Amino acid sequence: MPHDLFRLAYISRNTGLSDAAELDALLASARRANAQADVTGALLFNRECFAQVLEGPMPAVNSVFERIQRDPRHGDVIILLAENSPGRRFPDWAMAYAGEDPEARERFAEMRFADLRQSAVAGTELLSMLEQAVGRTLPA
Amino acid sequence: MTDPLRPPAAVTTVDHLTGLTDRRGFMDALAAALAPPHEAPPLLLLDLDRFKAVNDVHGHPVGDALLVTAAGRIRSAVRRGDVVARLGGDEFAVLLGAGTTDAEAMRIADRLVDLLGRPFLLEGRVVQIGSSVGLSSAAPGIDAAALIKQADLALYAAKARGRGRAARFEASMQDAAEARMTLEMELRAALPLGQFVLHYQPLMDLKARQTVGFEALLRWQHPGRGLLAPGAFLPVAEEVNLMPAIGAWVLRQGCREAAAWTAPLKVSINVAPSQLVDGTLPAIVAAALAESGLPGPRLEIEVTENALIDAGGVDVHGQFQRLAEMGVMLALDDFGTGFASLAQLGRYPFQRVKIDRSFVADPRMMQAAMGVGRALGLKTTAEGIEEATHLAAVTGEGCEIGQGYLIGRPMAAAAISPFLHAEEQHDAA
Repeated sequence: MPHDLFRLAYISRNTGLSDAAELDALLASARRANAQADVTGALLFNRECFAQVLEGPMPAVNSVFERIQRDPRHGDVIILLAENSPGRRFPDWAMAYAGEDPEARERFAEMRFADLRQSAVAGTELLSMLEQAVGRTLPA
Repeated sequence: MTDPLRPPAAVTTVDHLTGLTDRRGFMDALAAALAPPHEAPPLLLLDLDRFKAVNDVHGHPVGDALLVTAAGRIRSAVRRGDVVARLGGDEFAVLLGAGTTDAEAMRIADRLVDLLGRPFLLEGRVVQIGSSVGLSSAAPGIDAAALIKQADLALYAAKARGRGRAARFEASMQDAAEARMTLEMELRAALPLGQFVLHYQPLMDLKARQTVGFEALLRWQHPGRGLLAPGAFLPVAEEVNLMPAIGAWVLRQGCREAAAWTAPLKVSINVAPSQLVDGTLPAIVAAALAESGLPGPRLEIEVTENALIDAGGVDVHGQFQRLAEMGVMLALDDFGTGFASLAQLGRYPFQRVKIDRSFVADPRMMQAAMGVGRALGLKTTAEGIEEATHLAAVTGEGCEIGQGYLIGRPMAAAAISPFLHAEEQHDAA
């Protein structure tokens, strides 16, 4: 059932994640939880902000997102996209880290939360940016 | 042996929707926490902001899902040993564990405001609400009722400061609450005691430099505090739903006084969004016109953009249409400061926009507002003309009517005749 799939994209302010080890731990726990819930997606992060896409069955995306909302390591969550979708854009990724791609990392590294919010990056734009980055990185 | 007819105590003290402690369980927990020799722990009372709107717009199932998710967020922000309860509707309480410091309590309160202000994703819908939190303040020997009162007053203060925030109880809140209650009592008596009066501010035709009407402005002749401007009492009047009655009086009085003027000038009367909710405005206006003998075209009703937005489910358009059929003019007040879209403006039978005073000193904004008014075929009034430069600017822009201290201050009804007489003398000279 194609309309059973739901996609969410958001940006938020990084308020607690500072180094690679913490990121690895976060990715590991996200991947574990997402795989169990049949949720896929991609994540980018820099010193100031997170950008994430989640896709999967709606109740699963709801509950994964709700868990993320309670995480004290970020705040000022802004949802850019919430839509039903016929298919997944990140079918092979429990949670792709788009930062593996040097180009995306570089592009994103300079983004400040205030700028992101100001420029009102459209959800679709964020989605294709993450998709490009992940496309250049082969699934592990 | 347990009595099979009696459910276990725990079952009767759980809120079925959220699984939190219910009001009764909360009262029990509070009583236990206050039993000697314990010191009163900090208490948080929390209301969801705009919860009712979510229920209205998305329906009760989404509202219920929101309550469940909000309860989960609250629970995620407290520690083992803290009691989280749903007291009813969208009201929650958190009784913090013994030994919690004031600073910790404030941190938790801020965290709750943060968490509940984040977007909720409910059945694929993005829902954004907020919350206000009131915090009690430690006092030795305080009892349960006084502790709840403290947190409640603090919650009220948090809402009054604009919602979406936490506030801790301060002794001054008690005074403020008492002052507000006194004001409410006096306000309820003001209408029957005849303490309201209307003052009138001249509206000048900018081309002819002649007074063409007056805007009626409400004042309260307070027995102890003198003449009060609306800002001092209208928020409370709105809060206790006195506005429809006061507004009806303003319409009757304004029409009656205008009908007695020596010249057939217009009277502009403000109507609040709360006067539009029950659909009786056209009947009230019709009665005011009939009673006074004032012809419909001499009355102009002013509403702000909020009246168009706040009125969810209310037939504002139909009421405006009926006013228009009586010949009554309709003006949009404070134009440019609200959120009305051009499409909305075009849909209502307005004949005039009153350009907000904040634009009068800004030529670009003035031009833009005038442009919109003209494009929609509306007449324009400029408010807040206080300096000769303002007057020159709005006249230059082709604005039809001007209003402000430079043109004339609000005056008592009795001052209108001398004012008009003086103008006549001046024109004749």
